[in-house]
Amino acid sequence: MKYSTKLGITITLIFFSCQIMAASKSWTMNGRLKQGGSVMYDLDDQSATSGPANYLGEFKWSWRPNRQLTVIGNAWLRGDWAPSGDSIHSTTGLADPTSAGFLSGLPYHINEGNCNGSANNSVINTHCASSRENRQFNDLNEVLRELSVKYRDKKNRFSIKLGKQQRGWGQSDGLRLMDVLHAQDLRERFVFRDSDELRVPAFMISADFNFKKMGIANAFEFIGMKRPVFEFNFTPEVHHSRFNINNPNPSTSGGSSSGGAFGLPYPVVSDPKSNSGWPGFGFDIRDKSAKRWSFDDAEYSARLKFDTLGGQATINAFYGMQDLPTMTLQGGTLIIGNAFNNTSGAGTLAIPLTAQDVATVVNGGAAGGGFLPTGAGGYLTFLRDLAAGTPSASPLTDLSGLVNGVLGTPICLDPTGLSVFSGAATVPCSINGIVDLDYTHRQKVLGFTFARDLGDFKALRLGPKNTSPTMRLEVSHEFGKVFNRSSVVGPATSTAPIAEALGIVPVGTQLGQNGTTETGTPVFGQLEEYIITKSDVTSTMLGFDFPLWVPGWDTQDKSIFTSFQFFNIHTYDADKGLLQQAPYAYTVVPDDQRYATFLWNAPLDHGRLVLNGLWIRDFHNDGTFYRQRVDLNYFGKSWRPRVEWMHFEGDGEAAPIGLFDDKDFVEVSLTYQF
Amino acid sequence: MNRIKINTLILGSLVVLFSPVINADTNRALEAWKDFAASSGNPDHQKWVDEISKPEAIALAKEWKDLRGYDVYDLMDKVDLPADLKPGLKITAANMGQYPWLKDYLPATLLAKLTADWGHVDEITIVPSNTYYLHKGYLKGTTALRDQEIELQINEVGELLYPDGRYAMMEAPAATAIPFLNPKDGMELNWSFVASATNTDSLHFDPIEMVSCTPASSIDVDYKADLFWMHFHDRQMVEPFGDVADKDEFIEGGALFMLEPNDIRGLAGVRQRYAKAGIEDDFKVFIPSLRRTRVLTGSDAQDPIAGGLDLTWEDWRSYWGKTDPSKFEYTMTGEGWILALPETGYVYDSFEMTEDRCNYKSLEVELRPVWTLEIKDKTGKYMYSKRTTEIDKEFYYSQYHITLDPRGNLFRHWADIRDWRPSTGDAQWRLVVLENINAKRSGFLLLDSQWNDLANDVTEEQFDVDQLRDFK
Repeated sequence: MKYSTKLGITITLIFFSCQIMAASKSWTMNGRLKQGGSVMYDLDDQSATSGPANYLGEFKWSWRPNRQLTVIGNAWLRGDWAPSGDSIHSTTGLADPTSAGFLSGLPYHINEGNCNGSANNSVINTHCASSRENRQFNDLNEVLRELSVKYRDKKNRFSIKLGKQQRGWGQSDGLRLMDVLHAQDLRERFVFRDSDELRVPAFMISADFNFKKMGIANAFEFIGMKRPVFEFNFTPEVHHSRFNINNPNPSTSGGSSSGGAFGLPYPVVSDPKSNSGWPGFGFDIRDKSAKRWSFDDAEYSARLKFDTLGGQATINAFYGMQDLPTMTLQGGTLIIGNAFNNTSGAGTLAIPLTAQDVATVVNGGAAGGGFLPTGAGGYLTFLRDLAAGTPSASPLTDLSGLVNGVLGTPICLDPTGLSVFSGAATVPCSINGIVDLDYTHRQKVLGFTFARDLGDFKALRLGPKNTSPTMRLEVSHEFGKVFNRSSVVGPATSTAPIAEALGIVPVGTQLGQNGTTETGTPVFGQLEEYIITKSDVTSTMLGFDFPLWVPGWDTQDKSIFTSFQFFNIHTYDADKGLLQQAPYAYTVVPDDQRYATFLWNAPLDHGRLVLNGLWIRDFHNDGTFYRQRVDLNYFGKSWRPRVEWMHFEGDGEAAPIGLFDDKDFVEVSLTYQF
Repeated sequence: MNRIKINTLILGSLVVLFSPVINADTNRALEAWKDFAASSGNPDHQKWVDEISKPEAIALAKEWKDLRGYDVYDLMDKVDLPADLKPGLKITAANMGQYPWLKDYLPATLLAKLTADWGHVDEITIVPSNTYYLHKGYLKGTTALRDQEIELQINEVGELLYPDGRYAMMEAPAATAIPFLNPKDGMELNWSFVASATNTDSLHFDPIEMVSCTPASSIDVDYKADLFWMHFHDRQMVEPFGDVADKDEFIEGGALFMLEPNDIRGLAGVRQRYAKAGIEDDFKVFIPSLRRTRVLTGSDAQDPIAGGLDLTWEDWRSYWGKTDPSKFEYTMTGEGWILALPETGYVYDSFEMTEDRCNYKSLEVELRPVWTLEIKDKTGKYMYSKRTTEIDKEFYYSQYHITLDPRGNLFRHWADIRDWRPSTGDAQWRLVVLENINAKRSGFLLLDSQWNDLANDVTEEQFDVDQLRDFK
């Protein structure tokens, strides 16, 4: 059968199926098509230019054959026309060896449609990525949002929902305390979009048990817990949060990458002590994920929901996997023949290194110790000596001498590319540290939520309509959250496998290390046992929602919904030095991190003009975010034009706001819905 | 010839002799409709006659007439009506001037629609008056109140109580009864109106379409939803009979699951009314964009249910405000007759919309006896300075509900057509004409009432927002 005939039959079948479904009240179908285009006007190295042009097509359907069963399906296809419609082209890359202190990045172009990564091209063109990661999110897991079956007991004693789905927990908006059942997809607007679009749906089996209906509520009601309902979730499919990294390193597994405007910036690789960048040093970043489907890594969660004290409360427990990573050094590669971490060119040679080797190259050895020649101090010593005006031997020069097995005739130029520090070496070289983004740690959280209308407190009847606020409270405690350390005391001695392999030292020989305290990027040049630690975290949110009727505004036809939240995140033993989120948020975790949010939603002109604003303040990192949406619902029920403005202000590398300090944008989008 | 005369005499004697039996199989409303259907030739009218001719309908009408002590025609006998106010009269902009009495029988808001350029009505036709009644549960409960000589009390905070202080709306027989068949004042009238509730134990619109038009007669917003309602205590008509489990603090509840448009699809809300005065409704909403349930304040019942609609939770079933004499003054300002939309939605649509669905080609009206209830805001903080409700003397439900804004201007107008089943007496809805006079926005609710298997169709599932969220 011809392809066109098959296509015609398929379309006809779908059309008539839809007609049949639409004619039946047990079916529903809805969907939307959305296209946006944006202008980014605050980019550090670029004038105002067209930004992400996100598109989305979504289809939802449901089937309720009887009262016991509901089947729900939801699929979407989305992406960004980048690089075609997205002109952002510059971001910070690998350290530029020609810049002062090596602190500037080599030009790294994202959204380059024609970059081929060839070593024969110019430096600029070898450090580019197409952003095609964002072009279309089209694997089945990205497309399928929900495919679930829910069964309800006839007597309402229990219900079971099985399949791909998402569940929201907690009372907080914006920041997640108890809303941890799902990982997040941060690839399009990072965390700054609606939460149902952020959650990564997973296959779950969820059951709700109505204790009252089951006749076992008496004990709960005796202690004031009315109408108790117990929810249990089993999630054998484990996802971790997804993000794209603007990674200029061409020798990373899978090549360089770009997440466009909202790709996470490549970490600034620098040494705080010498205040210099690390030329020739890159990171090869890999994912170390939990088992996708298993009982071993499966997630289990439960909550008891009940009415008490005039409101509704829950007690929650979650035993799952971390969906944000820690970063650990796993090995490395010495690249001989290219100074910019590119292994793809002709004549380049990639020499594998162990984690211990890389740690030694970074930290160096004590005088006369280590596998490096006497006096070689490693990367840090080299950079510090250079900054002090007393250049020492290049670690790459020394290392190349070892790995070539040509002791005494090292061939690698030093990382700055200046042969004056490299003796007779003539070959440009660079090095990658291979690091894992490790998602395999367990996450253990207990929580409590409470929400209550305060209408029965007469003193809280406010405004021209005597309306009252509702209060929301959420507290969570995470046990043993895994952190990267922000500060590491390096070992005084260690083994050197590569030196052992070459027979330079006997196996097991402890060689001297510098044993000093390091912060910043040098932390990632340490072994896992020195840079990972655990701390408990207690997070609290107190929020109030209030329908605001403006005094004196007689023609106000709908209240302005306002919502204020205050967060405090307390990390125990934070003074031991913890990183906010390695490697993209280098800020150090304080004892108490505080945020405030304010949301307002004002439907005007009979709901045709809707203004929606969201303000977030990160007090510790001095970060401010504001999002303003303007919905113009003047064109019937199918067309939904929207203007959206996002403004970011904060310290660089301070997640979540400061990371996008220069990514302010205005987006215009048009949605057709049915 | 003589033989014929004798036969005629015998037949006449038999008719006279057995006339009580014949009268028990009919009523004056039915007879009026039979005549009207025959003259109009409209098959819908004949279908309606068939429905109200059912023995169950006739019997129920009689039982209610006996309980009340009157029906509409008894009341009609006692008043002088304009000679041309008769079934079959068609009123248009062109001839309305010929009937000066119209202003006394049609609310100004409806009369104005004949000449208005928004929410316009081309033609209004008078049809015969029906005799209306509530369902058998109300008959049983109201009869029990009478027979057991239970005199319900209204306390100082506006609660309706048994003489021993129990909440009337929570226990039989008053939970499903008209507390004051012949109300003496505004507060009694208010409670009889409130107690008639939705006149059904369970209600389901699948769907309810909620539309609001611009002054230029184009549809501005158009929502579709599933809407449920449940009477929680002393249920007589639909299972579960008696009390709904675990609703020992609530009188009744409503639930809404939005279907269209897509951007609010899945929004689900449940609102439940506490019996106790001073406690705001329990109000929870599942917000699909958060996938989370939010508790909303029950004190804000003045917000439109959805943007652009002139429908608030307090306007549901024309009036669903919580009785509170500290905030409102309840006055029965009079009684009289009005022309109102007939409750024929179970059988046929007594209206025809224009193609743009913002105006009407025709509406039918019938003459109804009403009490007038005025509810005045005493706080100055309510969306309406005054609500005026014309409450039907047979049906104990509103025929019109008209409000003034805080500045005293006409604000909203509600008139509806119930989906009333004559043979059982229970009712849902078919059409609500809903208008914002201030803003010149006409609108309507078009409701597809579900009658099949309501016991399984509407359950506690829909009144638990965490279950309702997966409804469809």
